[in-house]
This record gives sequence, structure tokens and C-alpha cells, in this order.
Amino acid sequence: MVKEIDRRIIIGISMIIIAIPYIFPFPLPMKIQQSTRDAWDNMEIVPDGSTILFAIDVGLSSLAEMKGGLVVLGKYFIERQFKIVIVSFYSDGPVIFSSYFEPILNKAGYKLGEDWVNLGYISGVGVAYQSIATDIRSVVQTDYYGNQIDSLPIMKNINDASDFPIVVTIDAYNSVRDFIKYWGTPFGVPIVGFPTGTCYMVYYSDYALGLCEGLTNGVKGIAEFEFITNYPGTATAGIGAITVANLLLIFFVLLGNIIYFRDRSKKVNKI
Amino acid sequence: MTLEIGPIVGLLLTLFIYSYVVYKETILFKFATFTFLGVSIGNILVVATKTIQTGVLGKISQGEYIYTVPLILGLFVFTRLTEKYKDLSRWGIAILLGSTIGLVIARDTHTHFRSLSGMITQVISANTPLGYLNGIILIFGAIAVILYFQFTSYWDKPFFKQLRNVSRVFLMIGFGAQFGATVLTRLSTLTARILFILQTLGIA
Repeated sequence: MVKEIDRRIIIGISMIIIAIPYIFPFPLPMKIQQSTRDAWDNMEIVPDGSTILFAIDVGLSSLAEMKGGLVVLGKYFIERQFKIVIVSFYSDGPVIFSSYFEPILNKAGYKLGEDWVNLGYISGVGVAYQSIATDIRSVVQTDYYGNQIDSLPIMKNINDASDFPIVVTIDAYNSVRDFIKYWGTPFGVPIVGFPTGTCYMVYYSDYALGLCEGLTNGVKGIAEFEFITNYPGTATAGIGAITVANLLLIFFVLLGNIIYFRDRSKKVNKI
Repeated sequence: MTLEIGPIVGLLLTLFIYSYVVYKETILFKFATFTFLGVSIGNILVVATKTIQTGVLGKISQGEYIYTVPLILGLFVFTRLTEKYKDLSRWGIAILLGSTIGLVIARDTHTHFRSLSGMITQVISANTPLGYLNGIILIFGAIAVILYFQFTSYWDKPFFKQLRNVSRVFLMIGFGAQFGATVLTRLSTLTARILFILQTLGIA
């Protein structure tokens, strides 16, 4: 009778099996979820060259999952020639921006102050979302590098939430909900979220009820977005491994239940 | 050929972390976790200092003396460390909580009404039988779960006892979905780290 499987065996087997699709990749059909399609559709209707708000609210601990999202969004924004106002309501945001997003902008020849500006980390959670929505300059006078925002051409006609045609947020910490509350509801700004898989489950009801315009589902959603935009990246590469990992998880859940019910029936027979 | 130190350090730290999962808590694991904590806290400290510098001290130096009020209230919080003046800390915390709660209540109410209207729209605008059924389940589920958290005497009545059981089913489905999503998120993180290990070793 198997009483307990050593977790090291389970993790060891998982790591080996997950590695296989990376070493021997195999093609998988990609079914695009409606929420991802809506995220893309809502970004597509924004005219080329518009100034959009991009919130980087992921931390170092969720970077492994969300890095692909940063890359594909960077490439997509550049393709659409969007001017990007970057902001973070989570303290890791500026580091993530400098390490993973800024190099993409620099490589494309995007100019600081003209094509993008990083307003840095804004503390205060709900109050910060609210304040920046009503008057950006009441909270931020200089960008992350100390430049006066009034001296930057990109900020010329940007004063509050209503000056943005869309908000895109890459999120692991309730950012989508806060944007809905402080930007979407009072100002009617469309909100498109790229949350982690865990957050997606929380926000899905908001999407289903029409409070946010589009939502992707963790790595799977990012892979779908990479597919739509034709910028295959790490999420697409990892979709085989994630599929295998999910199947493995289902197998272990079934195995655990079979063992549990078998043991229970043996106990009943003994009585 | 140039040797990049970053990926190698990243690879070693990843392996140190996973040493706990596949073996046991080792000194290497402790080194990696403490490094992660140290870097994270260091980053938060730098960001917080910069926020105070630019957001408060910078403005005071430009003559906006109103910002001395939040600065003083913020400093009051530290009086908790003293026995004599610790009551002052309540002022800072009270204003912080009061203003946040006021804002959240105002915005939440508005957003909840939007959710409510969204639910009703789901039923009204449904153009297939399945969509219609989906809308009804959504509204019924929302009402059932709200009623579950009403702790009043009418729950003793048989109808409400049955309703409570139905509410519990909706709650369990919600929690189950949330738990499943959390596990899958962790698996996504694992797959990303395995890809990183393989790429650094030149296998993938």
C-alpha cells in the first residue's frame, strides 16, 4: 500500500518531464480565448501613434511567468508606433522596466521624452491610482530619471486619465481591479490586462461583466497574444512544457485520489 | 567568446533554490533565499527613499510647505517605538486609513453597481439559450453567495438552509478554480525556470 509518495520524487519527475518539450519541441494547436482576442481587438482600434498608459505592476517573483508579456507588448507597441507613458504602482516596477522593457525601446530607436516616459513607482495604492487619474502633475513633476515632465514633448497634452485612449497593465498585484475602480469606472478609459494566471481567475468576472475590455490568462494568454501579433517568444516556446505540466498535474491528482479511495475501501472492508 | 556572468549566477541561484525541493534545506538554499530577500528589501528601500526625496522633500524645498504635514504624520508612525509618545502614531495611521477607506467605499460602490448592471445585461442581451442560462446562473450564484454571509435568524428556516447548501457549492467552485489557477501559475514559473536552466546550459 502506498501511504505517501516522497515529494522529491514528484518534483524530480515533473522537472524531467517538463524539460522534454523544450529539448524536443512539438507543435500544438493554439486556440485563442475570447478574452485574449478582445484584448487585441481593443488595442487594435486605438489609432497608430496614440499616447497610451502602460503600467508595469509585476514583481521579481512573478517575472518568470510575465517576462514574455513584457517583450511581446514592447514589440507590439513599437509596431503600432504608440507613445508610451510607463508607470508602476508596485515597487519592483522600475527595475523590471529597466531590465526588460527599456532595452526593447532603445533597440527600436524610441526616444526618451518623445516616444516614451517612465514616471517611475508611485506609492499609495488606491490613492495613487485616483490622484494620477485626476491630475498627473499633482503626483509626479519629474520622471524616473529626474527630468521635469513639463519639459518632455510626450507629456504636452497629457493631464489626466481622459487623455489616454487605453490603459494596458501587466499585472500580478490587483492592478487591473484598481484601474477599473479609479480609471475605467469614473473616466470610461478602456482597460486591458495581462495578469498572472492566479489574478486572471480573480479578474475574469470583471471581464465577463464588461468592466474591463480584455484579459489574457497568464503564460497561456501571453502565448495566444504572441500568436495573434505574430511575435513568437518565450511563452509560445513554453506552451508545450505547460501543457505537459498540466497533464502531469491531472495525473498526480487522479493518482492521489485513486490511492485515497483504495485505502479507504480497504479500511471499510477490515471493519 | 565572452563569458556572461549574469546567467551563470542566475543558474547557480536557481539550482540552490531547487536543492531544497529535490534534496533538503541546505546552506546553499539559505544563501539563495537570503540573497533574494536582501535584494528585494534593498530595492524597496531605495525606491521608498527616492519617493520621499522627490515626492516630499523636493516639494518642501520648492516652497510647497503643505507637504510638511504628511511628513510629520509619517514620522509620527515611528513614535510607536517609544512608550511615552506612541499615541501620536495613531494620528498618522488614522488619517491614512480614513482617507483610503473613504476613497475605496466611494469607488467600490460605483464599480459594484457597474457589476450589477453587467449581470443584468448578460441576461437581457443573451441571444442564445445557453447565454441566457449562463446569465441566470450568474445572477442566482451572486445572490446565493451574498445571502450566505448574512448571519441572521432566518437561516433556521428550511428554505434558507437549502439555499445555504447551494451557496456553498458556488463558493467551493470559486475557491477550487482559484486554487487550480494558483497551482498552474506555480507550474508556469517552474517551466520558465527550467527553460532558463536549459538555455544557460545550451541544451534548449
